[in-house]
Amino acid sequence: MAKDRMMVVTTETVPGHRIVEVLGLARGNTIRARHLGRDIMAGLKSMVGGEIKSYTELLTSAREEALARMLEEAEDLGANAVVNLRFTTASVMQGAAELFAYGTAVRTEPE
Amino acid sequence: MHEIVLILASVMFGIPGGIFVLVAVQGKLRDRWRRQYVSQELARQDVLLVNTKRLLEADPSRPPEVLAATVVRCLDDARHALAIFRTKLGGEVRSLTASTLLARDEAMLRLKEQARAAGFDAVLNIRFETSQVLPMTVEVLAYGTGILRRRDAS
Repeated sequence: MAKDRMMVVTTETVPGHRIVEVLGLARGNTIRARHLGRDIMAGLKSMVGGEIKSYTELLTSAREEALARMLEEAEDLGANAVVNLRFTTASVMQGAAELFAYGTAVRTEPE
Repeated sequence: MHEIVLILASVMFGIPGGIFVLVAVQGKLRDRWRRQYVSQELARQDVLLVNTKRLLEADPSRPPEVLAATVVRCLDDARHALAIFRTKLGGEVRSLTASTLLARDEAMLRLKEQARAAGFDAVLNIRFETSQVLPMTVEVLAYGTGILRRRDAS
């Protein structure tokens, strides 16, 4: 897994490391849908309020997938770290959600 | 009598069905060609795209400028219908994932082209916004700050 070899931070620099090369933008996205049964359950749940667990899970796994795709791309660029990671979500279709992860792929050296 | 019903049925469903399949195939092929072109252009390292503010040092003689690009894309009807079907089944909506990624890459490519045209060689602090302007269309806005990198820095 790329995740084990790669440092990912949401800051502009990696603490304790020096950035020796900036390689460019790495990004990954996924659009996920839950099936009809879950949608109906979520509809019922919205009557009483509270957390809609199935959607939370859906978005969590989508986020992990988007992150993994971004890391793969960073690895292809020859990076060992991704700085300034950002997530965005968007609804591009009824019943589906998009998760998009992007960051700057860099090569670092320990200070 | 039987034959007439069969012929009528095949005309009624066959022609729209055929058009449906043709549209889906051409949409998919066109996207694939576009994707090839876009990723090949994005792989060129002449303009560096980053989403950080300070990693690259700018040449003070060239004032930075804001660059922005918007792309609106939609799926063809056939893949749209399949995508709707997918939201009932659950799982990843692959056609839409690819289409959105293509819209974003296209926006990044336009940022790159704008930067090149203005004489910049890097775009800093890139941000993305995604929204829906119509049902089933994806609107992507990419924006950032074009700079000329300081030569002696690297």
